[in-house]
Amino acid sequence: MYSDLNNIDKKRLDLLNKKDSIESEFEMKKDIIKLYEYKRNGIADKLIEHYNLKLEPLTQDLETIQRCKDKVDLAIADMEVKNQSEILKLKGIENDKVELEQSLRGMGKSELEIKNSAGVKFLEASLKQGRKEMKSEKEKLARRKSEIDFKIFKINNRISPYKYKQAEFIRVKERKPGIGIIEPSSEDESVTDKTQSESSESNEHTSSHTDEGEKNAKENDENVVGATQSESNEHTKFKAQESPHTDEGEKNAKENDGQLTTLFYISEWNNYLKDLREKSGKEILIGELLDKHTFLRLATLSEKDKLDFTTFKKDIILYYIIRLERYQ
Amino acid sequence: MTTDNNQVNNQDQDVDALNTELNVLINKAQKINQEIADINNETNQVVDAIEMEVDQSIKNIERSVSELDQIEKETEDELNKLMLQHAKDLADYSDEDEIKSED
Repeated sequence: MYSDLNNIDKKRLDLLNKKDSIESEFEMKKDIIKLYEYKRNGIADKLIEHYNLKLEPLTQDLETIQRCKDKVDLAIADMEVKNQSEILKLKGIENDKVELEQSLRGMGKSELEIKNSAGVKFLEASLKQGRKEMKSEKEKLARRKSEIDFKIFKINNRISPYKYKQAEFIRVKERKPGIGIIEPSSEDESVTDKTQSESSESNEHTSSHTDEGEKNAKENDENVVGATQSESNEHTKFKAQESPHTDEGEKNAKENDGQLTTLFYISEWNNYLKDLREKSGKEILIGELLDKHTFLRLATLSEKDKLDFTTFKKDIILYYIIRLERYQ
Repeated sequence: MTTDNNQVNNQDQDVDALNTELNVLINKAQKINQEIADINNETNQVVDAIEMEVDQSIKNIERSVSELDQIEKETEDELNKLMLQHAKDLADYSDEDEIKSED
């Protein structure tokens, strides 16, 4: 009996030791992750600071460009007003010329004589030249304006990803590294958290092509199987929505925590548009369907990046604004 | 005969007057053409200046953007290195644990 008690006590001590060891291991891993987070945030902060530093003059230059666009419009409008006054003057001369021709007719000059008169011919040529010059200058300026507009459009397009990138690096700081850490919650939740954090970790920087990176990616792929299954359930729900634009759609997306891949959203959005057009018996408009590569480039996302519906909606609006500008 | 001469003289005077009027109109038309040329010139100069300003701003933006690209590349490299180091640290730590538990 005494030896049984001793055994139990020994087992209890062993278990306590094991618990301590696991706890210290857990704390150690937590510290490693904290250190990683600290370093990562430092790097991200440095970039954000650089971005703020560079984006400010960049924004000022953009404003200058925008002002220039307005100035061109103003210069053209000013020229139009001045030209209107010249047109009136030319009209006055034209009327005087008609009166003069009448007088010549009254003096017995024939139409042919009037028409062939060197003075009349010269006057007509002068009037024609003035009008021609105004017209050609107007066309030339319209061309120059569209060239300037195109330059502005191009540079705006060039800059827009950077505005997103700044936000992207702010998001980097919000990501949890979580490798190997299981949150002390219910079993299911911890597994999901682990999967999600690992998945986000793998998405964080896909450019790492090291063996370790590939190893991690393989592990992530295995973990993602569960996520894909839940994604497919969400897919069904998303499909069931007649319009992702509706508030209900947004609500559902929020309820699902919006953890869907960009690729999934793109294909679902295009399917939705196709269905809509099919039902209404109309053809898909040019540029209406999302072009995967352009969308990903503009939104600075990769196919596997996960985002919520609200973010996707914002990206989609930006995409169509830019496309619209291109087609206008 | 005198009446005929007078009539011819009067007609000549009228023609001269009309020619003078025509010359005035021609001068006016040429003046307007000059004004139009001046307006065009002035507008072109304004647009030239604006275009130069746009080009300068675009140059500035391009420069800033390439600097941002450079910074971003460096940051990405740094982050990749850090991630790799982090993965290695965790892997090393797990290996140590395995050895300990085997012992």
